[in-house]
Amino acid sequence: MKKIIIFIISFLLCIFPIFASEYDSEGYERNETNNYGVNKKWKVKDDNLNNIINTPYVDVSKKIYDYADIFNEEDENELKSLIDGFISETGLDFALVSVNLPYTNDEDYNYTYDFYDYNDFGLNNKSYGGVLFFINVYENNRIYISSVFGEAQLYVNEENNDVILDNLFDYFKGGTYKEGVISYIHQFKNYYDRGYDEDAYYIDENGSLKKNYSLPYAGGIISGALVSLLSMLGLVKKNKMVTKASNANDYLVSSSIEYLNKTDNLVSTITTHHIITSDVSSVGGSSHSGFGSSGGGHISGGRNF
Amino acid sequence: MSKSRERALDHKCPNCGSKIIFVPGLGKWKCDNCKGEFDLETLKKFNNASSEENNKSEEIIEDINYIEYHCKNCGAEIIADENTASTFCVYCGNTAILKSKLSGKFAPSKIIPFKKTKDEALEAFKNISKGKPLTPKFFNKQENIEKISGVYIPFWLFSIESEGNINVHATRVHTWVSGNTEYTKTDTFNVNRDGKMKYERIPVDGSKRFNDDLMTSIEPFDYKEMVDYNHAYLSGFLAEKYDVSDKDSEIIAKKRADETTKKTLLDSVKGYTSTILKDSKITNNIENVEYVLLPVWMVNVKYNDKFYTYAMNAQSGEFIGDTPISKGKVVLFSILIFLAVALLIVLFTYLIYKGGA
Repeated sequence: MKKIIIFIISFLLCIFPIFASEYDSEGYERNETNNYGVNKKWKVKDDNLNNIINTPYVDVSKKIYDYADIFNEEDENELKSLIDGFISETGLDFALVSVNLPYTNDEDYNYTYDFYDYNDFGLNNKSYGGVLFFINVYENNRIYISSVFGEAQLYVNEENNDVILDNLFDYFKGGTYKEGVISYIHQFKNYYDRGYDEDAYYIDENGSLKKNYSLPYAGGIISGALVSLLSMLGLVKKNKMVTKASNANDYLVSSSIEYLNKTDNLVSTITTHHIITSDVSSVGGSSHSGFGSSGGGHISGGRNF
Repeated sequence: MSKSRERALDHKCPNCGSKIIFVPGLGKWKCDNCKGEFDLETLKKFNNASSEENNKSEEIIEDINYIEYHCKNCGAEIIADENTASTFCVYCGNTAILKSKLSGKFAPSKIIPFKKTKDEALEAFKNISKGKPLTPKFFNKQENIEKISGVYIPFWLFSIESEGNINVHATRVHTWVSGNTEYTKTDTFNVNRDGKMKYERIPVDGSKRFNDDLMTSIEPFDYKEMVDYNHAYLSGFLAEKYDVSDKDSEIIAKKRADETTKKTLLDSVKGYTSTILKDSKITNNIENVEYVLLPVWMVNVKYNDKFYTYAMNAQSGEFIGDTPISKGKVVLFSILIFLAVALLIVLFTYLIYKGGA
């Protein structure tokens, strides 16, 4: 019996380091044996290995990764509950990440792409559909970013993403992050509920939103008719060679032109002004389509606050 | 209806006495019989061309509807309308110039001799379809030509001194940004321009028989090639005398000068963002009027029972006239262009789609 207990303890002591090696202080550890934690179809290559290794390897069931510690436990619980509801209703994955890192906007964006792509978010969806909401509260460059992946792009396109981001600005400017995230979830859900035109768009093999090709009937007919009409008018005009002479330009003796009086009297001066309003959507980056270091497509946009 | 009897003038070869005609391009008179070529001085020497004196001799012309005259060559009796100054004997083809129609107050001071030949006019007609894809396929065939005539058309040339002033409402807009404010300064000006200028020899067709727009369309004529009028230049061509007086014609010349004076003054208003002409007053004074004959090839075409008239500036070669439009070609081209554009749009959008994809 004693031998059995010693064997079990020895066995546990032997395998503990294996478990321990898969977790770092914040999650799992990436190494060659687990394909650096990349369980999606993205290839691990020399040019993205660095990105992968530097991306936290996390437990995707947590959904909230508050590295900047901007949410208290109560907030997290409330948000987790909402996020779980969102996931169960939409089938799309969701990750909320907060950091306090001295990043530029580009670095912030790349962080969101890598965080989503190199973890198992959206793994249950064909195109890894889901959304990552990112907040960097670093005081010199505060930004929130909404990155939309896979099938989620069918519901929230670039334009919709910008509308959502603009609506969140006051929450984040005022420091009410939890309310901002709640609003984000609700707005996103609203767009999801509206659905999308299945004939118009699809998600390609790289996870990018693509438009289906449809014959431009109206454009073709209108343009064809318009060009045809204008061409005919031009051609008909060629056959009408007789014109009425209305001027005597050919017979003007240019050396005879003499100006007897040239006066230019200023009558009035009016100066008006208007304040140039800065467009909030231009600060932080309008929503755009692109690819992360994984090669996966997404729609992403953010606002500095 | 009244008649008058006159003697027709013709031109005889100083060598053999056969008829001679002016040959455009050669710039001389040629005898078809003995192949002799003669310049104006030679013809004058043999008293076979008019002189300045007999051009200016005053003759009274009755108010008549048509004229009966006798061909000097064959003696045949030929009728011409009252405005015909030079024609042909229908029996022997001899050129017949009704001297009285181009004498006295109807004596032109200058003439531009024909430079372009009948063959060149025919060639120009044959090329009428070039660059005009809607022209009916067989329209430019020579068989469709009913008549082609070299005609000296009476023109009034008006030299005008024009004086005018214009009043213009002008604005100059300047925009700049300071801080987060955009400023727009609009200066409004009351602009006046007074000026005068001269026009030399604005032509106005002095014959009712010819379409005024057709005649202005073949402008301009190069007046440097204009020579003193001589009846001899009419041999081989038709000629008209004016039936629109210089007084009636000057309205047209003044109207054309009016437009150009206004535009010239307006063009001198520069450096403004916008200009609106508020008022203008132009005065045109006729400084000189000349009565001249200008050479035109008239081509009359009959196609599908409709008549079309073309005019060729027999000096510059400018060939003008409205050309019929084939309905079938309009439909065909409309469909072809429509399909081509529609296909291009489909191709273009598909390439964009593929590029995006």
